Amino acid sequence: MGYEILVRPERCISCYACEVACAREHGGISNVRVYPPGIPIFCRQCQGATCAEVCYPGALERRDGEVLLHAEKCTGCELCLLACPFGAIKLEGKRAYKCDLCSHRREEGLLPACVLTCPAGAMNFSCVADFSSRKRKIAGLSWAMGHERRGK
Amino acid sequence: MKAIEVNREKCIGCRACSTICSPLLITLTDDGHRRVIAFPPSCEEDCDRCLRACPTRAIAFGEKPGVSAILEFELAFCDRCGKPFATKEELAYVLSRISSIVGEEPEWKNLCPECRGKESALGLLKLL
Repeated sequence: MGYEILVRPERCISCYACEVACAREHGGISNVRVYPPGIPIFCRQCQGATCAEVCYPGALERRDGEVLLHAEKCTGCELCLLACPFGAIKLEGKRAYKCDLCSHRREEGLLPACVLTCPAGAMNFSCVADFSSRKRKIAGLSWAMGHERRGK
Repeated sequence: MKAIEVNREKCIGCRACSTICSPLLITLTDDGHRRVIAFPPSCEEDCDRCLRACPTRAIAFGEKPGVSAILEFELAFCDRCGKPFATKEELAYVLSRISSIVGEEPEWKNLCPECRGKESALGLLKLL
């Protein structure tokens, strides 16, 4: 466990391929949204999950580093939408939708659809330690080569 | 005849009862600056979905067929885009529940979900 979708926004080219891939996997509803100038926003599986805190029927639950959505328990009250600091949950029809890290794909050993699809490598499925060590490596190399901006 | 009795003091005007009501007797309409939730004068005998779905336990059942209850709520407007997005009671309820995690006055509290996404995108951009 401990794997999550981590974004390198400097790589995003605003092609919206992640939105399309997500919608394809989730019955036409995309749980990721690319906001200008090119930052994908989706559920961050927060440690202190405010959505799970307000969800009184227990449809949202944080377990094993993920915020799980049990759709059958959702009443569609919209309280989780109002509790999410990132606007990452949406209400469609009678229930809430949010990123589930493509649990159905991971069961088959596949990557989340957005990560697999992103042509620019902006979406990464990794653990925080690996991600940050790679990021530090890139920044260090870049600095050593005399570039001013980090993380590119 | 079974009738719904709503406690106006407890009701926060969320969408739970109107969404879960399968015979569609409870209706919710957002109209400009207010939200109107209308409860029917009588309803199905063997159904208690709304009672179970209500987050604040504002719903009870009475025996006498009442008049249809109509509750009005003032909507809160988004600070960024100016659109109404939730009732004021809902926002206050949610904030009171999550204040132990995000503090009393999170800066995004008066933003609609859409604008919260935009703001967090801009916040990420500043880190680049």
